[in-house]
Amino acid sequence: MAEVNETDQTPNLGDSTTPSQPKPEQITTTNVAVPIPDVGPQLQVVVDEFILKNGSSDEEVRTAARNDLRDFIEREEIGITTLLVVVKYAHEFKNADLLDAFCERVADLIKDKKVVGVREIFGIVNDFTPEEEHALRDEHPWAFED
Amino acid sequence: MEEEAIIRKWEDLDIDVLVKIYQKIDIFDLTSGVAEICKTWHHAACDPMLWHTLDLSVMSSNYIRTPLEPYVYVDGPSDEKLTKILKISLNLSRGSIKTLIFNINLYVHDEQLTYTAERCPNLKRLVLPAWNRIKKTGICKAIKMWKDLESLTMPSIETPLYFMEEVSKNCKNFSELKIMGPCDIFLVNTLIRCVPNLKVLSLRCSVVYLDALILILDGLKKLNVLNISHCIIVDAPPPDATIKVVTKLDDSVLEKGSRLSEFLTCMDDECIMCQRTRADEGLLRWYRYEQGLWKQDEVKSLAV
Repeated sequence: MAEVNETDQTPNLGDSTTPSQPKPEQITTTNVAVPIPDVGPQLQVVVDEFILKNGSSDEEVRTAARNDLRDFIEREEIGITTLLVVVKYAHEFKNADLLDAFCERVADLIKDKKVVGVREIFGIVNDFTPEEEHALRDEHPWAFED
Repeated sequence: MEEEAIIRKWEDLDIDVLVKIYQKIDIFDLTSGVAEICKTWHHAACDPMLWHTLDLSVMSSNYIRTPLEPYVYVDGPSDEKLTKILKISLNLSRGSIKTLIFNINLYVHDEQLTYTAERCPNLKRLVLPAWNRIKKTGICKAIKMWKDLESLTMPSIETPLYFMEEVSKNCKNFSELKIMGPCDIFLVNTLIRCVPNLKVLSLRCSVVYLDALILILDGLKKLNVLNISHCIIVDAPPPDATIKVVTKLDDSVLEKGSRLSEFLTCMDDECIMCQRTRADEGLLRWYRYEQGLWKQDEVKSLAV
């Protein structure tokens, strides 16, 4: 997982309680691109830009940043493996806004799907025993209906 | 090996993150299978954070109005759908539900109500505006299971005594009531007798008899908040005099009302809600108006 120089990074990790506008000289030093492993350079750039703008004291800039990020996520149809990495990264570095935006994407992928569909999309292995699943199925047969 | 590592990761996602994701999906998706994906996802689906409030005001019954009691007929599939959602929600909620909201046109029947009450023993607030298919025995049985109930939104009922007596016996912390229908002196007498410690009362958009209003202000000693916004206040003196609609509350009533921390009134010909109450003769036909209009209340704690 990416390493972070926390003393430099913390103010710029989208913490909306410290919305200080970074001075131009600081941008290059405190907002060093922290490579998120296994994601394309394009996403990295978008995330970094979001983090930067989200630290702004101007509400409009922050709103625009969030909208841009949402648009990007929808347009690019971010893949499952990438999504997982970004979500974990956002959670680990306590970037609530970044996490929120990507959780929306995950939620969209879950909506209107049956159990089998969700498992397939996320590559999740069913770890219920046949007996456990049978019990669940008996309680909620509708989840498995076609 | 690389692929296996990737596949395992979604199951290992932090519970907090999964809960955050679940907060973004509606009750229909939440109960349609996320809890059966795998053990971690099941565990997250049972998180109390998701179940403080169960809001079923997003569901409606598929019904037709009928001329005889219960005045509605609900079709089988619609009933089954509600039962299904209730079963799964109540199962996942594991007793965490503190607020339960039913829609104005979601016609719950006794069995569903009992099933629900059994599984929400910690309920504090209930919004149940439609009792058409609920019998006296059914609602009393349910109330007995809600010892912690503090707030209730209900329709007006013909003989409230049997019900308020059960509330009196079982719900020691009961303090907030919203009645969506007419308020007369009999109802107020019942309230004074059964829930003398009532703090908040909303009767908005209904007919309220003047003698009942005065008795509320005199008789409910612990009352802090009274909402009679958009109500038609009716002065009904002895049989031979004509019934009069009160257009302005007189000083004695206002003086009594001023002792409350909040005395909410609105009697304005220009006000659309006042106009609607008048047009519907004191019993608002909520289905005629904007969806969700019934949820509003000038008292914040009673708004949905």
